[in-house]
Amino acid sequence: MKTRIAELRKARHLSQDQLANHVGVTRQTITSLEVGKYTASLMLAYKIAKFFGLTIEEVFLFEEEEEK
Amino acid sequence: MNYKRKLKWSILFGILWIALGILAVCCAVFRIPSSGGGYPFSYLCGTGGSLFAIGGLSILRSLRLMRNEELCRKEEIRLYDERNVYIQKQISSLHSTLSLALLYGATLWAAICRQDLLLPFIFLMIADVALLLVTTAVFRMKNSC
Repeated sequence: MKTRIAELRKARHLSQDQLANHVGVTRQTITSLEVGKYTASLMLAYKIAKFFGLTIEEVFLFEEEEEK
Repeated sequence: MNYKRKLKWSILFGILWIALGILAVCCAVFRIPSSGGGYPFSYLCGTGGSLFAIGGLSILRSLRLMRNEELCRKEEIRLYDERNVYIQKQISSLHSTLSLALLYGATLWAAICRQDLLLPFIFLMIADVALLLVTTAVFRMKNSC
């Protein structure tokens, strides 16, 4: 799943480690989310969206083709 | 379970392993229980030493984490990180499947070499299928609305 996490993180001048600390996951998880190799759970998606002050849909880009 | 409480349990278990290790070594040294034939002196010493080492390391690690808040928090995050848990579950699942396949292979080989083991092998297979059905039923029921 594509995300805007990298873009939003860089806009706020945050490192992956700092973001990971804020949402309570490892840096590797943030890296995996940014490159689209891992899909966050609902709880984690909510925490990340809340951290950026956005909705989940604005951070995580769901495309219908991915469902198949 | 709260991570700090988990560390405390870890210390308790560490003390238990150390106690068991010392007990095993004492049994070896004082030859308790005495038995005819080869006495498992080296086995008991080795096991006792290993338990002692495991217990000691577990206690040292837990104490170090309890003293350092930052390290404790990082370790807690690493332990409960959802991606790590996901990967660990995949590893456990694949490992279980492959272990079972190896067990079947070894048991079948034994059954071929010795005909009297064929019946226990068949019972093992039936028991495994029954176990799979029971666990499937239990978890389906547990997770149903």
